[in-house]
Parts: sequence; structure tokens; C-alpha cells
Amino acid sequence: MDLYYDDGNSSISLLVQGPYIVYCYFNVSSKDVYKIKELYGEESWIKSKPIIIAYEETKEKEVKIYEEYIDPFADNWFITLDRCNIQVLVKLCRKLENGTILPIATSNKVTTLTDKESSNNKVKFIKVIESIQDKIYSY
Amino acid sequence: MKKGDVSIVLHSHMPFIRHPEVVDSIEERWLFEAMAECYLPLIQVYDSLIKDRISFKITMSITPTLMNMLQDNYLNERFNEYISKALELSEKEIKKNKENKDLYELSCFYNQRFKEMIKIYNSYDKNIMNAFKKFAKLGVLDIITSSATHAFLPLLSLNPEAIKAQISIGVKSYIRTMGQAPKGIWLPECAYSKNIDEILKEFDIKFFISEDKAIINANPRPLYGTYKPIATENGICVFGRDMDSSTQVWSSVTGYPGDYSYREFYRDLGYDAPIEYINPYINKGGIRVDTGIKYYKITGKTDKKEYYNREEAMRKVKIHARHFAKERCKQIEKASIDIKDRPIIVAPYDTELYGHWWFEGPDFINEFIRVSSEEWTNYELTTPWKYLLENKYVQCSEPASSSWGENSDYSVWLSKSNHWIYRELHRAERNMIKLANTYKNPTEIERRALNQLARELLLAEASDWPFIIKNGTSVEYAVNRVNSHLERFNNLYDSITKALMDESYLINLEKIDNLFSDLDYRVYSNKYRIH
Repeated sequence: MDLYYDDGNSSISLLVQGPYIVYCYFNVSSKDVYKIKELYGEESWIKSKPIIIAYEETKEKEVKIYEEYIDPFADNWFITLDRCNIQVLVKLCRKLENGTILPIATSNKVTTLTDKESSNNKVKFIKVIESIQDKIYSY
Repeated sequence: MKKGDVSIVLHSHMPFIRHPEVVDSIEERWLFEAMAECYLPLIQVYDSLIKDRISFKITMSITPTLMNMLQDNYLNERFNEYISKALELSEKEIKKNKENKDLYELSCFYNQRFKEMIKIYNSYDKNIMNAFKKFAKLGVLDIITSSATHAFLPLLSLNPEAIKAQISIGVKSYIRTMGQAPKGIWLPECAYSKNIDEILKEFDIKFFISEDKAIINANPRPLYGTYKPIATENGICVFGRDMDSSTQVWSSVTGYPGDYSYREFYRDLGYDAPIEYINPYINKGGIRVDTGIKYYKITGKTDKKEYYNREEAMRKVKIHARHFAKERCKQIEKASIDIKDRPIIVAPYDTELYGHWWFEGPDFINEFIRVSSEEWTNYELTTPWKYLLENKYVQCSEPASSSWGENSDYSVWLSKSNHWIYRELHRAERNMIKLANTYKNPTEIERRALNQLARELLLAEASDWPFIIKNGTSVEYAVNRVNSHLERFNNLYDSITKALMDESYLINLEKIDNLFSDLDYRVYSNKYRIH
């Protein structure tokens, strides 16, 4: 037995800790374990390895930015990324002996913190005591 | 000529530590110590300033849990016992120390001080909120609210309903006590993440206080750093913490509270006196605790502490308050070269630093306010709300997600020691939301149980528990608080969903965790609207 079993659906939840670290906790349902065994053989679950893959979401695409085998008994993981202020999601997967990656659960999206000053110098003032539509000028 | 503004913000918070189910709870003393050493001395300061016709403005956030406890009959009775015992001990000390001039004078000092605190407490009908409400009415104190139980909101973002419930209940609790809606909010631990401003807008909150990084790393880059507030697209204003004024007080190395003349916190009669003598004044279970009588000054980096000298300490207070004022003047002078329309310095601190950790803290506040009223200063004391009324145009910029913890990130509240809390909290939140959306016409007992479920969830969500666990102080207590509230939540959840209600269990919980008496569980419904 490995990972954290739960009678519900497999899931992975993602939280931000800082600019470069996110944290996820997860559970794998017995239903999904059964499904994999049924599709890939009785031994497939034991012989496969749990893996976490993180993706950066940009306007255009999803880019893989992190991949790590995790402790088979873990039910949570801290992930260190090499860039900050990005939109991230993670996938909990199993990697089969033949290299096939089977996604088990996909997390929510989070935006990591920034540790840099913005390069955006646009200046806009708003009148805050009244409605936000009451903008007077921008440049 | 006044060129800018300074806003002192005192964040007053205690987790809900009411334990009628325990004989002489040690944790309740956290509140009593804060009442005797921080809140009552501050009330004394404000009253003396008003009496001397000193014009001033100060802001205090008083969290809903603290407001609830300050108005709780059981806790006020317990405080009465606590302060009476402290007075009794000081009288005993006067008799005991007749042969030692230094100790005798110090015993008399504490005796007089306890008498004064009791007098102030009684003059406000044994309800500290009466005093703060009076100061608010007089216009010297601006009280802002916080989330219901001081939850670290960004870490609840998986369930936005949970954030909304925290803010909604915080606002409602404020209105019940203060009689009007709050203009500002203290986001617990100054923790902000994108989209929280949308929820604040829904509750008509106009501003919050943030860590400096929220402003410095905001997008677009603010023109004037923390010397000016910024506003989100939703029009919610953000005042960033000024780090210079913060360091002068907070720094463990260079901060004023570490001056060798100030009182040593870690030498208390409760630990120093023989057990047979001190026994009636410590915990009833025989555990040594602080009594509030501390005879030594910091002295230096030595274990051989010298007796505390009140006059010497007060001389240092005057020096430090004047230095603090001069430093603010220098900042304003420099900032006003670029900022023509009044830069502002926002200096937020934990109220409990003033008086509890730093015994002379309230005297420092008193002296700083008096110095600030002198002609030579180039700033006025203000509040964020007053500042906004006078400076209505604010640069629009999205504050950076941050907190006032280490590294300005969330790592204190989400670390390898305390991460386990969040899986359980999020699960309970999902269940709470599900129930709120399901039970539209509950029976009376179901309604009460659903409300109590919400209370237990709110109490489990307090940021204090992961903070304590991370810092390794009262870890067992904090772990137990998270687990016991979640256990109560799960028991009630089962009772409701399985229609197996044990009313006596419910009644007991209603008595113990009795805050937010008018709470409505439907606040967790995704269709809930306050207005």
C-alpha cells in the first residue's frame, strides 16, 4: 500500500507558501487504484511510481516546469520552483515501468508570490471615496 | 509647518481562550495579562491625553474574538479575581520587603499600579469595550475590525465562502458592539492575496493595512512606496507598513524595548518566589505562572539582574519617544521633497507588545503623542480613514500578495510543522458549505447545531494555532485546539446528517464556545448576501 487512500475521489489541492514554494496535499481513491490495475495489469500499481508534475499556465499554453518522484507514502509535498509570480497547477501522476505517465488528479490553479518590483510604470489615480468608475486621469 | 502624517495602528488580538470547562485555565491568563498590562494602561494613557487637552488620533484594530471576550461576563468575573489576587500579592510583598528599600519601593509601585488599573476597570463598568467606544465617540480613536477568528485568509482561498464568512461575521460582530459599520479592516497577519479585495468591497470596507512588500512589489509600481496608500481596481485602499518605524520598536537587537533600563520580562515573582509562599497566587494546579510582579530590569547580557528603577526607565521613555518623533520628522522631510500632498507613515504594531512584552510601551505611546503635539514636529497624527477623507485620489495598483510574517510570505502559517491543519480545515469548510446550501428550512435544533458547527469551524481556522505550532511555544495547546474544534465539528456534522442529535452535547458546546451569539450559518451559503 502507498499514498493516502480515501473512499472519495482522488484529489490534489494546491496552496502557495511563498514566491518559489507551493504546497500540495492529495489523496488517491481506491477506485482509481482499481481502475489502473484493471487497465494495466494487477502489478501495474505496485510497480509504478508516484510523481508530481507542475505546470506554469500562461495565456498561450501550459509549460511543464517541475517534475519529481515523491515518497510513495507521502500524502503531501512541498514543491520548490525556479521562478516566481507565475500561475501554477500541479498534477499527481503514476509513472508506469514503460515510462507512461498516468494523471490521477489535477489541482486548482494558484499564483505564486512575487519578490520583485513591478516593471509596469503605468500611473492611474482613482477617487476612492466614491465609486471606482470615478477615475479622473491616467497617463 | 506640517508636511505629512503619521498613523499609529495598534492591532489588538487574542484567540478565543475562554475555558469555563477547565479549573483556572492557564490560557485565560493570556487575556487577563493583556487586560491588566496593555488595554487598561492604554485606556489610562488616552484618558490622560484627553484630560490634558492633547490633540491626537490613533487607530486600533480590535478583533472580533477579543471584542467578544472583553464583553463576556464569565471572563470579566475571572479577570476581577485575577487582578484582586495580584493586588493582594503586592500587599503581601510590601509587608515582606520592609527591610529592603529597593524591593519595598517596587512593591509599593506595583500595589499602586494594580489599584489604578482596578479603578479604571471599575470606572468603565468592568467592560473595557466601554472605554474604547468612548474614545471612538470622542474622535481620538478609530477602531477597525478584523476577520471573525483571525484566520489566515489566503490559505482559505480554496473555499472563497470560508473567507467571506470570516469577513462577514467580523463585520457583523463589529456592528453589534460599535453600532456602526467599520471603515477599515486588519487582515489577519496582514495576509493578502488577490481577490480578497472583492470580498472586502462587498462588505463596504474602504481600507486595510498591509506589509510593506504589498506596496513595494505592487503592480503597477507605486510612485511613492509606503508613503502613500494605493487602491485596488475595486477601490479598496491599502496602507503599507513603514519599516523604519517598525524596526525601531520591533527589532530584538536595536529596538527600544531591549534597552537595559527597561523591565525584564522573564523574571517574575511567580517563578522566583518559594512555592509555599507563591502558591495561592499561581495556577490552582500548582503550575508556576507570571504574576505581573517583576522586580528586575534587563540590565544587560547577564543573569545577574539589577533591580528595576522606574524613574530611570521613564527617563529612557522620554528619550526614546523624542527620538522616535525626530526620526519620523526626518522621514517626512525627505519624503515631502517628492510628495507634495502629504506623505503618510503608517506604523502598525501588536497592541500586546505595549505593556505586556514591553512594560513601558504605553508610557512610550503617551510620551510620543505628547511630543508629536509640539510645534516643532512636521507631521500630524492621523488615522488611515481620516487621511483618505483628506486625500481622495489614490494611485491604482494591485497589491502584491504577502503577509507581515518572516520573508513577508505565508511560510510561518504553512510550514512542515503545521501544514496538516489545512487538509482538515478545507474538508470541514466544504462540508459546512454543503450543509448551508442544503439546509434551507432547518428545524430549531438543526439550526442551532448548524450555527454551532460554524462556530467550531471558525475557531479551528484561527491563525494563532499554526503560528504557535511553528514557533514551538504552546504547541500541545494549539494542536489540541485545532483537533478539538474539528472533532466537535465532525460530531455535529454526523448528528445533523444522520439525524442523531444529542441536545445535551449541543448545549454544552453552546456554553463553552459561545462567541458570535447571533451567528447565522447561512453565511456559508454560496447565495449569501449581506445587504
